[in-house]
Amino acid sequence: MKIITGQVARKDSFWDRKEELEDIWYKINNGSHILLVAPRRVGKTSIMYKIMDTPQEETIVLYVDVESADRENEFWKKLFSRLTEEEFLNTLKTKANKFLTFLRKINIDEITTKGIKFGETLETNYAEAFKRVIKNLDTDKKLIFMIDEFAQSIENIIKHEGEREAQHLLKTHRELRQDQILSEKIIFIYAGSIGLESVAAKIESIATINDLAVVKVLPLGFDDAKMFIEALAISNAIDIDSNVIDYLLEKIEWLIPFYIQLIMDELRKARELVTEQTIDKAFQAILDNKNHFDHWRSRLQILADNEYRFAKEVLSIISENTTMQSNEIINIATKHGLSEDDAKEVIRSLVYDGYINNNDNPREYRFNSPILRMWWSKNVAN
Amino acid sequence: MLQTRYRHKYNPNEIEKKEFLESFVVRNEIFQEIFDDIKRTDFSVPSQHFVIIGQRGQGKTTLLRKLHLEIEGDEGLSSFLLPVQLAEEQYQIRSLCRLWEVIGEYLENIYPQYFGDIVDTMEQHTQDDDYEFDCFGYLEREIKGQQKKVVLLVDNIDEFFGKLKVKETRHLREILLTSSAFKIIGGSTKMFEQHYDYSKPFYEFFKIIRLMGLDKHETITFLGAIARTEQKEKIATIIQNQYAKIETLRQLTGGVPRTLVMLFDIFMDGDGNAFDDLVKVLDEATPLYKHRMDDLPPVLQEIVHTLALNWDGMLTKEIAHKTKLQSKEVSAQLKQLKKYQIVESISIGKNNIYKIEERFFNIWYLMRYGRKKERNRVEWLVRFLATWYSKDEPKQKNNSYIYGKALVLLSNEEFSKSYEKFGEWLGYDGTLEDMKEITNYLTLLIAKGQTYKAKELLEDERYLLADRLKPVWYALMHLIANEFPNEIKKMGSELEESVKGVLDEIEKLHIKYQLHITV
Repeated sequence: MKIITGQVARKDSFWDRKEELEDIWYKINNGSHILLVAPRRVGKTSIMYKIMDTPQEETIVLYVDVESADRENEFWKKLFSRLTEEEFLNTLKTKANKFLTFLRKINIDEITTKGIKFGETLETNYAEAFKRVIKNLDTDKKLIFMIDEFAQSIENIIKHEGEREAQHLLKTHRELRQDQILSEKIIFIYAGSIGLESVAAKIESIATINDLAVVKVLPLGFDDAKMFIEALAISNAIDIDSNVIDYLLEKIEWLIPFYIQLIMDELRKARELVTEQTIDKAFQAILDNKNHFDHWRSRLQILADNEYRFAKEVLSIISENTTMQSNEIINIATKHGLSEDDAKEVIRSLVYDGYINNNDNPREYRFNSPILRMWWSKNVAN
Repeated sequence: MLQTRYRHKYNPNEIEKKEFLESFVVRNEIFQEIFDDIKRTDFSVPSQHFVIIGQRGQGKTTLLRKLHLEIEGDEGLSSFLLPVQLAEEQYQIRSLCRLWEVIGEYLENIYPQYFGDIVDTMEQHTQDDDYEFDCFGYLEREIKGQQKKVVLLVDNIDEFFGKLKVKETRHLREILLTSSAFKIIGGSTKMFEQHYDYSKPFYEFFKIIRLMGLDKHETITFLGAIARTEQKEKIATIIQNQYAKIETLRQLTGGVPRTLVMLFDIFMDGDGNAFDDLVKVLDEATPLYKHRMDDLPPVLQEIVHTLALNWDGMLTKEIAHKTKLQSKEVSAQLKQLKKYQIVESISIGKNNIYKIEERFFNIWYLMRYGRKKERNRVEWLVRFLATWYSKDEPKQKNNSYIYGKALVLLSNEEFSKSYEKFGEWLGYDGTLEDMKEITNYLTLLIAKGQTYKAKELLEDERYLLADRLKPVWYALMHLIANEFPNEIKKMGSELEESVKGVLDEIEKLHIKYQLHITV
């Protein structure tokens, strides 16, 4: 089992997320379309790839990342293109030739974004092309279409085309999901590093996603994380005792595979018996890995100016003081000219995106991860 | 003058293959880490990518070439893995599509048996409306079609990334996430990660490897390895007899391999002292450094001039005061200088302390453009280091007994009397040149907990001890950082090892005298 810090964990390097995978397949088999929810680096994409690498019988699983799409038609083109790739065609086996013939027969002159054939350059309406392909898909297997960074794409479209196109895209997806014929052939799984709910709410389109079954990807439990570390230690010749593993887990606290692997990679490089001191040193060393943490800071820049300053200050205070009370937060909001409602919305997105939680006490917020808290304190607050 | 290796200092790719591999003796751990990763990679899934960060001359290009040659030489890997090493042409690559095209051209040139038509195939589509959307796909299909994988070795990769539009950066992330066709190993001159815009969506896919200067053991190994057969005996003798000089110059030059190659030639040419050799190697660096300065507009030159002559770090307001510019303007210009990687900064709360980023460039500047007092400061540091690392015992002088008395009084904690004797001794002609003695006194003084007195002595304008003994000054600043938190941040990295050495010495004395008191 390799230590993976800079890619999706695949095949032998993937640590089994039994509960999440069972839940996902259960919902798929019940015909539900799924929204995979978790902050960055918790493991959503790895889980999606696991589904793709080990599909259930009678399913074909496709994965597409749409984060660079900033126009509605481009989004659909990405989905459509996946259906024309050799990888997918091979899964159709004997029906591949028939499918190819069908694809060639799609008369693109009839499917344009403008509905007229003459004068201007015709641009294929890929949403229509996609729908038509799925409707006519001649296969006895269910197609699981996983769309990663869906919310990012919606945001890009809002920025580059407009809210109307983004709303239209969400609406079209809902219609696809509600279409009885299509629904029998295809299940959508959506995921992304930013919250779809907050993006949809921004353009008053929450209703377009309320049919999705939510699957939360959670950090590992203590025992599971311990077994994970033991497996990594064996595969990577890291000499670490059981009680020292406990110390490590208590220090990481928010047990996502990514942070566990970052620390284990430092311990692997140390090439010595792991003690509490070497763990402390490893923690300090990973705080230098700016490429793994800076997105937590830069992500906030999509907020409006005063919201950004408010969020940054709140997180900086929590990073220094460990916790912050909700009335203090409202006070800081006033300082930055934010209403209580706007402040709550920002805090909600910070919770959703995995920065902070108020699980122990609804009036008290803390960082999810001590590692992120230390990094924030060192590199942003100071 | 200098040996024929001169031209290779700037282009390791020109060294003949056998000679190159034989002389690759340092950075083995880093090479092995990356090479082992390549060997263990499951190329059926997307790969871990790497960026090697290091100042100019640290050996990035050398490492990339080493990886190239070892992949070619490995029977298992070379059966499917094709190294693609981009060089000069990449400076013209301004878009993601152009990158894929250039890779296609390379593959056609170097591996025509597999990719004889790849350029034609890609060119057929360049006028398509959706070419930007599909260009990677054309390349990927060709590579997959031959059942090959590509290791892309790209120098100055950060410059290329900096040219990409936002949409392209997202597209690149998609590709890194989904394509198993290639693995990227890039080199980057940006020394400090504050230069990186890690908000770019793809950096999380890169493992960052930092190239630091060679340490003392690596330097000795390196000097031995780059010697030709007929030079080996001479360099071994120099290493044995002139260790202090080598160590002094290593620290001042940052242990940068390219500079050490220049020093090698200088060592072989003559037997000057550390300062003489420093002057020679600075001369060698002049064309490059002068060019860097000449390219800057006047106001930036003015700020670089101020910072470089100060040598230690400065606050914005201090620079503004010296240059007589407005603070706001200075701030804006410093931002530019940071982008050009000429200046670096450390945060001290609301403000920053700025320094010249490449420390050897700073030393060059002091020697080239400084007045006598600035050049003296360089010479003092050279002499301090040479003395510190020398095993020679100090010579006995006529007034040594006064110094001896001052030291004994200090050991017995008769502080006032000791200060009197020491002050008397310092007043004699020539004692200020006795760096070892002054250092010994000050380190004992600090070990005895008399930090304020030590600071007073170092700051005494009659003696300029803070300048003469910079490592001692900064060792003291380190110890009293609670009270003077910003001072230590002004220190240049060329002093790190010597400051640590002084701190270790103080700690030894501290322990010795604690034990003594207990007994």
